[in-house]
Amino acid sequence: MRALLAAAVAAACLATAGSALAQGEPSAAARVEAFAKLPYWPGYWVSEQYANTTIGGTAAPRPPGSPPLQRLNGFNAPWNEEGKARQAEAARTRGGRRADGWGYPMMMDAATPFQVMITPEEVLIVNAYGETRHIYTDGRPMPAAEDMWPTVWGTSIGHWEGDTLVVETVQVQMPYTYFHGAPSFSEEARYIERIRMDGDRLVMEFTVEDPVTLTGPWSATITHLREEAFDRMVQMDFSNDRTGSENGINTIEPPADEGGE
Amino acid sequence: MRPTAAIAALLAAAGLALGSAPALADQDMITRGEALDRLPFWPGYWVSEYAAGTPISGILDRNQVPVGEAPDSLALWGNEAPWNDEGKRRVAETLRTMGARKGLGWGFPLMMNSSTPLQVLITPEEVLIINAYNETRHVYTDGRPMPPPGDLWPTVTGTSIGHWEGDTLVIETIMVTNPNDYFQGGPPLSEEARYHERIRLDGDKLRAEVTIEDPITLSAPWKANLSWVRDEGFDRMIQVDWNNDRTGSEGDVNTIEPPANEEEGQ
Repeated sequence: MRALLAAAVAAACLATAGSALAQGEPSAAARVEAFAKLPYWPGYWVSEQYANTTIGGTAAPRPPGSPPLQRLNGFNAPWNEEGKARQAEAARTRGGRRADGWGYPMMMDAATPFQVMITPEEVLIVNAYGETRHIYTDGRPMPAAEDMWPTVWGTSIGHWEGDTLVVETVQVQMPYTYFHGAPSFSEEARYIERIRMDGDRLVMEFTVEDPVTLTGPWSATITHLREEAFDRMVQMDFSNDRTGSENGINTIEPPADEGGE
Repeated sequence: MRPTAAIAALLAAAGLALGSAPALADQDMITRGEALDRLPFWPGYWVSEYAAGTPISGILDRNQVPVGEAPDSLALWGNEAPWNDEGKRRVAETLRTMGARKGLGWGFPLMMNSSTPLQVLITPEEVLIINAYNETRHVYTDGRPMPPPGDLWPTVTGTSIGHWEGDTLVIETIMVTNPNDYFQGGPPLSEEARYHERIRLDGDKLRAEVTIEDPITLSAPWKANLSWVRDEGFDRMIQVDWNNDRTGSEGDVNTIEPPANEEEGQ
């Protein structure tokens, strides 16, 4: 019965996912049934690496003997010659760059809490900077190649294998372009995530393949903990583009026309 | 098997306790399913009715709007608001400084009255309203009260608490920074403004009744009616992603600049 309903939901969504998107309504009962089967991951998740980061921006050292944590920065990825060249260039240009966020994939290994909103048709991952991943789980296929273009967060299609969310993400801009701490994968990289709860942790097994920069698949497992003391998403809102730079120091400037008084 | 008020109360209590709660047990999941069963589903990429059909140029050909039909309009831009003297002074100031300002988005409330599609993701505990610029409103519907004043500060999208009255989402939003600080078209309301929204689906349109009260800038509550239609041709949220803060300004023209150190290293 459940499988049938789930299939009905998927079919209903697929049928409407074309030009008019999922704007038709699947049967309400099927939707509720689908929703009731999905896990619930409330909380404001932060990479274990950064758990309990204070307002100063640094996290307390982990207790002695804690197992090492893996990172998504790609420092230990199996870079090929092109990858090594890009990483060297990244190291050279890393200093003094400002950023509005982490971009993908680094937002999944960050000190910035994110939230996972799970609905039958879509899982939305959004962090305190408003960086958002729309992960479509309504059964649609990846869009056609000519209907995609590289973006900071890529294009993601997901499905559920039991309580594990499996996400495929493609067409991510070179992450380093957006954020100076990110790996320098190419736009041809394909990212696979398997995300599940394990006790109090959200565990993400991450694999990336990139024919341009890697000699083989690279995997890392990132664990997330609920950041304590958040009762709501505390949103960072930059005061729009009033920032400038003066001798390496960021400044906040009034609009030029206000200066004209 | 319809949920009862008691179940709803239980859910609200569970939601309140969820700040750092573990995953829910199966029984709770059933309860969440029942809670969802009571909620509407508003899939789609909604755009203010007046801006529907805006092409990639960003300029809507008003000549294409049939005579006699002036849906929705720029209701939240403040032209018709009952400004008091301070409000009028601020409006005059915004007119003076409106030119040539760049924006990363609309901010609240204008993101609710814009040509940028927005999505309404409804879950039992929270409704998330998010647009193509990643401007995000977290509307908590788990029964919590508005945080105390000592735990609030002004932000671009404000702090929102919501509840459902039947199929109508009722939202109260406070602590919004002067919307004109963020976006040059925003109404120059004060941080003391309170925004009340009642949003519901009406056929193929999403409609909102908005009432704004602001003791600093308004002489009376300002009421506006908004409507949205599903923007055609979207099969997914098209996210606008600026390439981070590489923008500069040269004269009146925006530029995209490489990081200074890349330039030096050439």
